[in-house]
Amino acid sequence: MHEFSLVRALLEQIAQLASREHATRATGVSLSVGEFSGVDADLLQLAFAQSSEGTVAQDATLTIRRVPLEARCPSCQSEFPVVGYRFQCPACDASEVVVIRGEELILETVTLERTEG
Amino acid sequence: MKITPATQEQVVSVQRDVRAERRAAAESFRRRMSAQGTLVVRLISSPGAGKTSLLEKTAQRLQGPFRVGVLVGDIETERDALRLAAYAPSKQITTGGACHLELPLVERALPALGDDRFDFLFIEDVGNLICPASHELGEHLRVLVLSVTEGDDKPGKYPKAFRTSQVVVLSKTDLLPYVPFSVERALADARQVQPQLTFFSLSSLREDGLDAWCEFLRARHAEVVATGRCSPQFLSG
Repeated sequence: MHEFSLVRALLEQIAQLASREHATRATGVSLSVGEFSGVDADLLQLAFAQSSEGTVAQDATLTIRRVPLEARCPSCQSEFPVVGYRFQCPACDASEVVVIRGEELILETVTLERTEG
Repeated sequence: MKITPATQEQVVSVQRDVRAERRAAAESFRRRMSAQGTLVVRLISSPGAGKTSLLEKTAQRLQGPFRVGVLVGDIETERDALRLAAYAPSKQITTGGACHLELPLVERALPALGDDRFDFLFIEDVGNLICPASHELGEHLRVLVLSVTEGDDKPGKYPKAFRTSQVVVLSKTDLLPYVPFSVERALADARQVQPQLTFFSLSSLREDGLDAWCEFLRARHAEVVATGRCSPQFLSG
């Protein structure tokens, strides 16, 4: 359940951003979560719901975009989805492939609310 | 008259990796260790795969000509550190329920070992093949210990742990005659997930295969001393 620990880092970033933008609260948070990021999207939702209590992101809606695992072959330049964790080029069988997406955990946007007056 | 304050909503584009700060901290720890000639080796595995036994034998062989320090993570108890203290300065990190070690815990525990200018700093993570794979501790080498009693299907079941390791140590090989474990299948599956893996097979109990493993560690240490880097480069994840 390391998702709790990652949510802690996420909430710190949101709090810093809210403070910088003089916002009173965050109402929306969007993340992209790679298929091979080692993070479970459902556990992340659960951890966020529990850990955000009492923070600026308490009532924020967490939207998660799942990113499939894809790699590029440096030998033949083809790009392909990695199926069954076979990190091998399906076109030329090369085994030294480079992951291009699917390992990330990116904070994309935060919707902030500012109260005026 | 009641005045309702106006609220204004604003969508801020961040586009930042949530783990960026942790990665930067891990990189800075690794650089500090490289600069003082310390090779940081982190061991991950399922519970009971033989990490501590391997470290006992490894520390026993390296200590003397080299300075060795050990940090051991567990949810509870000081048992592993007590076992290892016979061979090298050791400190237990009890996580109190957490499933993996994190760098701040390591940095907090390190002063307990005294002068940290070791040649080898071993960090034994909590027995778990899932969570430790997603956290960097600033290690040069991530070593996955796979015991033959666990079954040869583990690389397919825990691909992240195998993908982010540079070394796989197949442990408890003295039990191979008694368990249905295909070394070939485990190796082939692991290589599909991470083609750059270096393999060692050994038995800590029988002290088989330890020389090649220690030789590999000495070579990596020499490389860090000479170049400040260790190959293959740490695979982020």
